[in-house]
Amino acid sequence: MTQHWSFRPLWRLLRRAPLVAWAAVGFAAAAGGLHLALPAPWHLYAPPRSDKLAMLETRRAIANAAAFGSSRVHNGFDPSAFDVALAEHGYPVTSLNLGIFGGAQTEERALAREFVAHLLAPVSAPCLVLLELNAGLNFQTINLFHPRAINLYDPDTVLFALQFSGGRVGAVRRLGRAGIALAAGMLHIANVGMLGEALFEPVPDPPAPRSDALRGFLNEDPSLAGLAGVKQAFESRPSEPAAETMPLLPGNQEMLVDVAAAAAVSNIQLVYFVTPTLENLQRAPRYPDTIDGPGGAVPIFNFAQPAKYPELFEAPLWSDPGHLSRSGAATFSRLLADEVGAWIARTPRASRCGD
Amino acid sequence: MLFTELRFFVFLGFVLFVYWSLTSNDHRKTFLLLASYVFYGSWDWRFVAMLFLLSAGDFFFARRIDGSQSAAARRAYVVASMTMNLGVLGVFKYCNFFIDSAVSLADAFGASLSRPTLQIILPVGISFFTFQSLSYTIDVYRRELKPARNLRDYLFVAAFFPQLVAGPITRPAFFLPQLVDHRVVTAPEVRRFLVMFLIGYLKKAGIADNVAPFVDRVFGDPDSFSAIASLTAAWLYAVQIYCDFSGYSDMAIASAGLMGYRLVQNFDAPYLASSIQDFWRRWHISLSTWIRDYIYVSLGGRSPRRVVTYRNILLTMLAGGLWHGAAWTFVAWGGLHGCALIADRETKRRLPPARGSVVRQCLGWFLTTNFVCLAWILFRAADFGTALTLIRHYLMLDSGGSATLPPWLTALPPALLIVQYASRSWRWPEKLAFLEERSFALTYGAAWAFVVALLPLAHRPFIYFQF
Repeated sequence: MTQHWSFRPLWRLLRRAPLVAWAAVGFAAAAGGLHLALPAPWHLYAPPRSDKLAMLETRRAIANAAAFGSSRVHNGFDPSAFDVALAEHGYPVTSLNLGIFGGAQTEERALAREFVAHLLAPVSAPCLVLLELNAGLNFQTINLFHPRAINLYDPDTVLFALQFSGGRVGAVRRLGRAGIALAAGMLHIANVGMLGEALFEPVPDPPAPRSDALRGFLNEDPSLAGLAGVKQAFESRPSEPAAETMPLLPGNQEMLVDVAAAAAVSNIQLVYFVTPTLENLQRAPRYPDTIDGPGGAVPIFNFAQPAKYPELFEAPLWSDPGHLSRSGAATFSRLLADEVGAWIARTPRASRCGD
Repeated sequence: MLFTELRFFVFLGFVLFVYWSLTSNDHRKTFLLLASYVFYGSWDWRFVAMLFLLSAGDFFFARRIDGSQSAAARRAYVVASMTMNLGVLGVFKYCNFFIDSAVSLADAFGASLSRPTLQIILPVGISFFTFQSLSYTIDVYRRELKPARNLRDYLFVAAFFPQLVAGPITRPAFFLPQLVDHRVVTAPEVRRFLVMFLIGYLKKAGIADNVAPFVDRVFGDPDSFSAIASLTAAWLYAVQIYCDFSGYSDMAIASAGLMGYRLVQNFDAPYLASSIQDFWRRWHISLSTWIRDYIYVSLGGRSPRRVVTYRNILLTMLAGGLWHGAAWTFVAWGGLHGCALIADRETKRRLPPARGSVVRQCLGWFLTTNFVCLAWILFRAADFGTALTLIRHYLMLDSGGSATLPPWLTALPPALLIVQYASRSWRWPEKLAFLEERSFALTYGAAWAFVVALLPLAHRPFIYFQF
């Protein structure tokens, strides 16, 4: 006899719920098996992250310093300017720019760990890991279905991300941060898109030779809209920005622990820095000067303070209200090198990586 | 709202839940009509009004055609309906094409005209629902169909969301009778439609969308690629367009089926065709039968004079080509297929019948498949220059550039063809639907795990860059 399915009323539908559970079991079992079969380092693949990783691969043998973070680092950290300025302090380094457009703390940690894991101890030189403190935590919601998020958010990364959703973060933001991390983690465990990428070799983005030649630093010419934004930001500049005390989150400390633990050599110098934006003309965030790291205090260099770094807050140094121009990047990198140089002078142990 | 998007799954789940919870057939139809307008409005709300007005207009014309006694009045109403539908299609889809063509023609004769390109947004699915609507008034005019009993029913037929934007072109003559009674779905049917949806999703998202970037690379810069890469790209495009379109059709048929409605079959393993005529019996069946019944037949169809028959075939295929897109490459593609159909008829007329000849079947399949792939080059290429380069590469008349594609991609289309041949022989999708419920649920869940892992995320732009 033909069995007729009727979805009315609701209880009859609910009688089918065990079948949905069986389907979920089938899905979980297959996804788990597939997850184990996928190549282990897969989680790092995703343009443009992989472009920076490819650049790192070619310069691994010579680099002993790198800056990590968002587009403010990608556009704003000039390795050449940094190296020259730090050499003037007596600390020769070869640095790389491993900042990425839209980069998040989770991505920053992944790249920093990858960098330090293959670090070769240079003779009489520091190993610097320069971490942007104010990079976003997660990728934006609209980028959830992207390999940059899905490939990266393994359970360990999800736990790391959750460390940014505690403390004094507001309830909505806390929920949003945790929600995105958990959603990305679920997509990761479900291998969404991963088999497609493994089978169909993704078409690479056009190479960025300038970026590669400049060790990852790529600063495009400013747009008219960007310059108009800069002009407006300076025109509406108050006499003094409002001070805003920013909390340090457990994740900030966890980042230091995780990066140090991944290091192939001892005695690496971890540094946090806060990148400036023109929003700082209105509100200047305040952070503690240091944070406890695995090997002692780690400095936090806060460049988001117009009063302390007035030379950074000049209109020609900006491409748009969020990003420095080429000359701005040079200025910022020199200032960062000066701060790092002064710190190393105060903590001599940091000058000799691997000792 | 594409069938592959998460929000469509949410939408479909909600629609199915409410639909099957309603007890009255009238309420169900009204609800599905509203849901269909919401679905169409997810692209652009402004075009919902256009869809409503076109459907209401054809409902009105069909009633007048049916109610008129005089042949002249009936003819006037059907002409008015055709003018309305083709007018809308012409304005939205072909306006710029005709203007550009006229300007180019004037240029060729030395007259310099300015090129007033209009900024017209193409309403999604317009080619499908105008053809569907046309068939309604023409069928009523031909007295092959009684008009819909009420406006709501016809609006529902015209807007039914599973088939609204990409077919299958479901003629009201086929669909209207289904509106009379409560729809019923049996448990094995539900499983069969769930399997069909999964296979459609796999074809569209798992295969078509994954091979698309490789096709785009070669068609975007054919001179740089080797002849083998061009050949591979043409084959991959054949896979892409089939998986894309038939996958979408599968999902449409399955979505409608879960509500108890039947849509027409749209594809039947077209790349297994042994002749070009056979190909058109298997490819986009709802369109090929539509143009046969409403263009070819209207032109006179098969005539005792072969030349007239061939002219009708050619004109029909040219129109079919133009239906696919507003560009001369599409017209040329249609013309090429028209010529092939004529050549096919001539060959069959001249050669002795050879029923059951495996050699001739294989030869027919080989020639047909390669012809279809060659013709797809015209269909896909941005211009005739690109198409010519790729055709030369395909025929190995030119070795091309040095860029290549991963070698395994060359083997993918034949492998997929073998899979299709095998699945037709073994009928495993049907067998899957007849599994015991719990085994089906387990297998179905596991299959989705593989399908979502195949989603082509790598080629998705990071949205950050748009800001």
